[in-house]
Amino acid sequence: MALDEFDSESRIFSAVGTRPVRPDGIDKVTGKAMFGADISAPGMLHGAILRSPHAHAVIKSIDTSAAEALSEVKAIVTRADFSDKVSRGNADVLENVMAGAKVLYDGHAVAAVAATSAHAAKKALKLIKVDYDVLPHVTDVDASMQDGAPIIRDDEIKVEGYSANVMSRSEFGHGDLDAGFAAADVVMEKSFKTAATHQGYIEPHACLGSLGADGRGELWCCTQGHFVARNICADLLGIDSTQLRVVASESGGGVGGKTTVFIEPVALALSRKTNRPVKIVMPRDDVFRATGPTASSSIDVKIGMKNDGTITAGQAILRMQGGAFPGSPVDMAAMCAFAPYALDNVQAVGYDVICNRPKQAAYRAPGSPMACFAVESVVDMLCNQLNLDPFEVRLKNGAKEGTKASYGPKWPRIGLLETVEAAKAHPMVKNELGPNQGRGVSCGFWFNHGGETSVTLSLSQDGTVALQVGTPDIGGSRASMCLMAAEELGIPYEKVRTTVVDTASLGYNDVSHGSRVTYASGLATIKAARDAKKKLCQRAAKIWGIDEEAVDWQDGQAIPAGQNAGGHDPLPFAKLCKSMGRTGGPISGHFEATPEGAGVSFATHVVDAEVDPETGATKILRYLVVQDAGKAIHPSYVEGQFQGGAAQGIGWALNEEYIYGEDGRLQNAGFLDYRIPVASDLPMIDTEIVEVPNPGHPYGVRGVGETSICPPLAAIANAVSNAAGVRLTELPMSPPRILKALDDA
Amino acid sequence: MANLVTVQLYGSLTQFTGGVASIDLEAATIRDLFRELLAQHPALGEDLDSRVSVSVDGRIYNESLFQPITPENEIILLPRIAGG
Repeated sequence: MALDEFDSESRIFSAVGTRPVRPDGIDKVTGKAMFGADISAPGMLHGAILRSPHAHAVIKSIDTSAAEALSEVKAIVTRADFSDKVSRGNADVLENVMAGAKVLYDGHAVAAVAATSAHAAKKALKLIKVDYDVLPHVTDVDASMQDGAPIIRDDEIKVEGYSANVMSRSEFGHGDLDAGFAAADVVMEKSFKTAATHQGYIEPHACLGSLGADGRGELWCCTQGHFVARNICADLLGIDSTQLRVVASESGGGVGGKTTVFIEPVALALSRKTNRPVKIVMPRDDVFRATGPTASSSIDVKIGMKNDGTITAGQAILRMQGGAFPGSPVDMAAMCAFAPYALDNVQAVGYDVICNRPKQAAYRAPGSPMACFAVESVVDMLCNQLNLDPFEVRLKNGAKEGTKASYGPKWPRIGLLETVEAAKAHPMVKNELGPNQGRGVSCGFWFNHGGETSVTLSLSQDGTVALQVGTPDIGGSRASMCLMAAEELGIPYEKVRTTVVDTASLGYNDVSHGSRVTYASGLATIKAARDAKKKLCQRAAKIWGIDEEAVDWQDGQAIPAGQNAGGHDPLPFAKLCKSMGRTGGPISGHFEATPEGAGVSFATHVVDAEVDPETGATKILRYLVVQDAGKAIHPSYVEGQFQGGAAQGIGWALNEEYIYGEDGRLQNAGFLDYRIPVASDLPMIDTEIVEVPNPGHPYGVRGVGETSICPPLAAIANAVSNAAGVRLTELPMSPPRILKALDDA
Repeated sequence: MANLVTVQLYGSLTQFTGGVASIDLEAATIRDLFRELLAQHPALGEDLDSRVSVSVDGRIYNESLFQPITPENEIILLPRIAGG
């Protein structure tokens, strides 16, 4: 489809850009909204999953006889109950959902039970006897790359010079690094580490599955993509995808972690065996142990700079482990590492490594925050050493339209410099800093995504609109869709209701990820509304007895296009809807496509922090997010995404980490020991929306959900390091780590 | 009429092309590009089109097999862009 979709910078909006009340708000604050665990069915059984206590072991045998002897137990499934003909792309998903010959991490599923109560299911798990042959394990990315590391999958060497746990090497860049570093006045090198962190969604995974022996079934689940959940489940169970109807519940958070399946195929397999609906709700410790956190990383960065702040060369070597399966986001991390800079000499190398940890899942701009942390920390060190203003250095070297991105292409129109200028001019940076306080600045980048999208917009006789979308609402998208439909049709926002419909009610939709929903479903909504408008104009032409080309749509009504069209009274939207049954039948607008014009997005964050040298505790004093949204459809939601990314970044930077013991078991699988930020940890996060239109969307929309988590790790690390007077290179910057850095200085 | 385009390979792909990162081939669309690439370098794998994104003059395509390309375009194969 055409990419230059943008209408005009001079377009004046009536609905878009306003801040109406969210359509799902009352249901959520009154407890009426139906989340994953709220769904039940008559005759329902309760499922529970037995998980490995070992980080790495061969499964010698599984004895289920004692559990099956319980009268409450109706079925037990193991790997043998899933298809042995899954597609190549889903083979690792199946291996993760239910272990085959080996368990690969603490928490790996080995069997599941369906029983008449949740209590009975748990009791039955204790009666299943698994005979393991425990193997050596490795959970650290650097250790896993070394010769002699325990081999997790197969012993074929994929990258020369490293263990068989290194799955691939990738490289990006251009220019002459040696010449670039030789031209520098200062060359700075530093190594960094970041811990694996979980998305921390409040709602645990939950589902209810019902599947008959005939291969027809239903699945209700909390997911970021019910069409994808349908296709994967069908593949894993060996059934036709369209025989499984999937309904997405309200979302209690996903942030990337609900873009795949964990328990859903298990519930369906248990249901198929019992011919009864089976519900599974993941306990919180299972969520930590067995769903996807993000990767942990080890990164070396080297940057050369002239005394005037010109960056002459940049190099990053990134190593990321994504659990026991290939696919850590190191490629994207390497592509994002130097994205905010226009460099003549640049190289980023990434190594994808496996460890005995759970399979990583997407987490908001996968890979970018860690790469940004390392690169922007070194830029800050150079600014400090050369006594340069961090904003000026970024303005001097910043990427802009026509410069070559570090990962290859030339940039189209982008808004990085606008975000730096806005941050530099913001009142926050006028605040004087006190003792033990420091300021940090960082830019960040994310690609954004389009993806397969279908929308139907149906008119009703009373002049209202039912908008059907297939992208679960994880960030307020229903409000944005209502606004865009209202804008196009010229009707009030309140006259549109947007529903996320099930997989049997609409064409295929990719998951809600990649900051794509407001962009792609939004574009599809606009196009579907334009399709409906065209049909409304055809009806008006029929009524007036003139050619349809002689009819225009303006301010919510059909009007004659000019004097030659005749002197007809305008036909309002509601009037045309009321008569549509008699003028040709029901009217709906449709749009199905794969929009490919998602505009990339940049942000600049500024943080003021105070470090207590006695306790090592950090307090975030002030926080500013400036980001290019292209066009903010519902500014409150855009600001909410900005603030959400910053809040998660504060947790990632200061406290959150997966902690593994010597035994390879996760030590902190709960919110008491895995500390996400609470309200008292956060200042009011100030936001400023920059709007540099994306030519790939009719209104100029760019995705906003992910970019906001790219700069925080670096911005906070720079603020903390400047406050403490010592460079912090390992995340999280927890109090013990800060105290150690102060002691070592 | 010959439509000789140059495609650059970034990321992990060069391990399947013997280290070659810039390839000239005849192609009028992204689909042609994939066909020719696989003909020249079968090790890239039949599922190449589902594993990469194609940047054409800085615009990233994931699914558009029929997108026209010309010798004047800057064409770069990148690891497939996804998100959270």
